[in-house]
Amino acid sequence: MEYRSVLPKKNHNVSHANPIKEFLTLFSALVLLILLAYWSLGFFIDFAIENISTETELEIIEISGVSRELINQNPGFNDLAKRLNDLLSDLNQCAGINYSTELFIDSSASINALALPGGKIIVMQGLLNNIQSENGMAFVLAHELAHFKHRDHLRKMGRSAVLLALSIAATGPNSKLSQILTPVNILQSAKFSKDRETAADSAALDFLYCYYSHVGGANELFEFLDKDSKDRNFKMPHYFSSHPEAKKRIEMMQSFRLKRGYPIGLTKKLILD
Amino acid sequence: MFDIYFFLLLFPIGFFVGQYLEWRHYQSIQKREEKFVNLVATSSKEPIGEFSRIRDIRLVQGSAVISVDYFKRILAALRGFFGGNVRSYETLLDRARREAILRLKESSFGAIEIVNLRIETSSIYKGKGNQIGSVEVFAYATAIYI
Repeated sequence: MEYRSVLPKKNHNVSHANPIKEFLTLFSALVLLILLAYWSLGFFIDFAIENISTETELEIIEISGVSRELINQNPGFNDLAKRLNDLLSDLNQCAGINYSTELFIDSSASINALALPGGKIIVMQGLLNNIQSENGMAFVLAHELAHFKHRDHLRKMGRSAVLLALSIAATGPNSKLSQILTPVNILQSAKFSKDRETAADSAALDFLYCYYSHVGGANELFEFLDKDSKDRNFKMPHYFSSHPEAKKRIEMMQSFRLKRGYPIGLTKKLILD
Repeated sequence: MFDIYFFLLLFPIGFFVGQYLEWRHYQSIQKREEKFVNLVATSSKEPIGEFSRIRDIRLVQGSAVISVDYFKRILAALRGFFGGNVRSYETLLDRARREAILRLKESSFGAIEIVNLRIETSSIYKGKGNQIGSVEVFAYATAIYI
């Protein structure tokens, strides 16, 4: 038999289906899958945030872009800042946050303190000027530590935090996917829900008791703010406005204290110079 | 954000330019295949037919490197997620294979028959996830001259 070479009439080695149709099918399936995953994430978000490792937490914070300029402008490493930093790290023994925390003093006059994610706390001069006791200051710091401890910054990011953690686990913090999933500067502002503030107050009371063996001075700032707002006859315009109102917080603290049986002792004066 | 603009730009360009170039390549392949249809090329180890006097036997080779466009790469990535036939790469390999054989035939001018035709494939972008995938197909055979 003789070999005869002929060209095939039809190319059977390639599919003749429409590539656009294939793309649309696959793409919509993927979008559907992602939406489903995102939606179901909501159900175990608290569980997931509790279980994110400290390293991943710090990586999320790192790539979410904390305002470094703000910190760089405020080196503020005078004697007071050093003493407050010592106080902070002593309180951290009670809080048990396993990364380093740092405190900076900002020269602005507002009665304010900020917890930047990653263990950075900024205390405004106005707060220092109006607080009398070391214990009162310690409570403010303990409150910020409680935010770190509870990972409130991550909680505020919500589902994005879990997505980001999964992406970091799967592809590393420098991957394109992680960068795309990073919400823009979401960690910057320190406004948490009132529930998170109450939880932070509650934990801060424990830290304060752990450090001083009494909770004297815990209400100092709230009492001052309460008086301040009455004097000025308007609602507080600063950071604490996102917190439950001062009067309510004083009542809440009272009930926490009584429930746990914490005594009130003498407070130490905060030396500013 | 830049990545998304980049993607939105490359995606339609990849599709339209890629489709056009592929169509043009297939036109050329078909034309040349018809031209060379009478030059028998088989994987047989022995010559097919009887030749009274063989003048020369030579190793001939043809190689083609073809790249896939951006659209097809995305489509293949989606396919990689769900599984199934990677249809968008089928034409890439088909074109490379046929082009390599055509180049082999073109380089064996005057041969009466080509035997022992072998084809090797290799990908040329291993380890670089962000690069467009390209493939090399290498065809080699023995050409018989009388």
